Amino acid sequence: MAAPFTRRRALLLLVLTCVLFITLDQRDTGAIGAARSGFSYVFRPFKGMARAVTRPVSNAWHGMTNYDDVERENLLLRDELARQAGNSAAAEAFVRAHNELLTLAQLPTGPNLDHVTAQVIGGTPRDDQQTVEINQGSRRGIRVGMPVVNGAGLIGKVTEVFPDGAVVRLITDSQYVLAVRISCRSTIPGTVDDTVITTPTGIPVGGADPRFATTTPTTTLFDPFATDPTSSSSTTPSTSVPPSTDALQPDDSAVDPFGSDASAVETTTTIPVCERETGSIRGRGKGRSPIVGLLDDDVRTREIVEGDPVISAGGAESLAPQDLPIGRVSRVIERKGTSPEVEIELNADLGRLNFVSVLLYVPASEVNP
Amino acid sequence: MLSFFSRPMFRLAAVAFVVLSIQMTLGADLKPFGVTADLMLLGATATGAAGGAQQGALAGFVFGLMFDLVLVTPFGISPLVYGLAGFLAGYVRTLMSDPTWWLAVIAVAIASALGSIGLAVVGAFVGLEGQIQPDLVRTALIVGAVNGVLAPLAMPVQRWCLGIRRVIV
Repeated sequence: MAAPFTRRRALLLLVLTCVLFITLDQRDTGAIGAARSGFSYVFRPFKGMARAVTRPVSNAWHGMTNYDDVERENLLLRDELARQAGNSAAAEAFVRAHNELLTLAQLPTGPNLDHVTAQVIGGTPRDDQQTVEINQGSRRGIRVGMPVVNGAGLIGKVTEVFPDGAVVRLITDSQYVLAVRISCRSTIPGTVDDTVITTPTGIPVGGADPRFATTTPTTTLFDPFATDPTSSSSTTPSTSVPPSTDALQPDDSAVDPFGSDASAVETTTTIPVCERETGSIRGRGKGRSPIVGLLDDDVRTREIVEGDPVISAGGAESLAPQDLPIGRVSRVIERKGTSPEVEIELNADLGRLNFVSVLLYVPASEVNP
Repeated sequence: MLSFFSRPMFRLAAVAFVVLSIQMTLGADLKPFGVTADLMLLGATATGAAGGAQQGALAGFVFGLMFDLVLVTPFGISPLVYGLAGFLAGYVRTLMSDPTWWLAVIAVAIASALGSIGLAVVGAFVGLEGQIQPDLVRTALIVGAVNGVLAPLAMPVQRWCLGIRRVIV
């Protein structure tokens, strides 16, 4: 009779203790955070040792299980590389020309931020959280909250920092939230893409799109690491609101507007009126696309279409600067009685992260509180 | 001093620390069938299957507590669920009049699978989004199967940890 009672009492004690822990954590008393931080410092060297010891096992496992995938991917990448080689020449010329135009028009480009390049050294330790570990930390100026990007766009934010490492919460984590904007789709002229119909510069891309009020949109490129607006460093193309020049006529499409005829082009620039939806993106856990909850349930929402780019909204309180590319609209979910939601296909492949960059960005509200 | 290091609780904490190191490195890297193996849950359920419900609950609490110290999910979920899973594995074992090693393995697999589902349910209960997904059962089955396969290795270690005399034939 004594055994079941003791067992029951042990179970009750276990449950009550854990409920107390959960309550303390939810109330954010600081004690749990301090305990986690302290333990992490003690644990890190052991984890480093364990990583060194287990690496051969890990490599052997991947060698056995991923060989076919690697071979297939290699073939696809060769194909992609050939296609990109063709694209890059056109894109480079376009970037140069476009940056010249931006400089001329004094329009803002992407954030010229310092960044720290880091390598992903650890994956998600359990499927109910989506985090990765990187090999750079506070010694390089990384702080909690800083946005992390790779070549394709935003991938997450720093949630924990150590002197030589940090934990990055990925966009897909259910606790990740960020203010974003959904912009209008546009393309880079002269590039090859299987899924997107490209239109030469000067032809009104938005002619069939009611969101474009002007008739000559072009495409801008975002480079999160740009230090010089006129530089032609390799960039990850993404789209933002394009400027347009009224002087360009549709039949100018074959003429380089920044070439010898540039002097003939009027420099009057019109700010585009492509409407943007604002909302907040939040992760939904492993294997599910993040979703954007829109702030306004108005008529413009219906104009969001698949493929529209999603970028960070920025702002004084936001942990990410504006115009960081995130992904594209993959589905619009209309819900009666509530604001519609938009499912996002991320630009970055979060399952295959290797090198990433931590943007040394601090929100304006923290700089000048 | 030596007696302190030979105490079951110290050994349990030390083993949990080592398993946590493996979970955070190898466990996070190897994903059989796309699912992250949960070696900490294995530690809890193997203890239960080897030593009984109370021992399982205690081990689950320690393993879960340590795991939660390095995760970013709400603190307290893992000790709760792992403790219950360890308790369940031990309870299943006590139901067997003549427990064999393979029945203990099955107990570990079942408790691990239910523990995996329990993590999602408790996570959803405390407000984590995206915990209960269509592939939850598949994930739980894989976690259970992996832990079942590893149970024959884990049970002797856990027996040594807590000074449990072997009773399984």
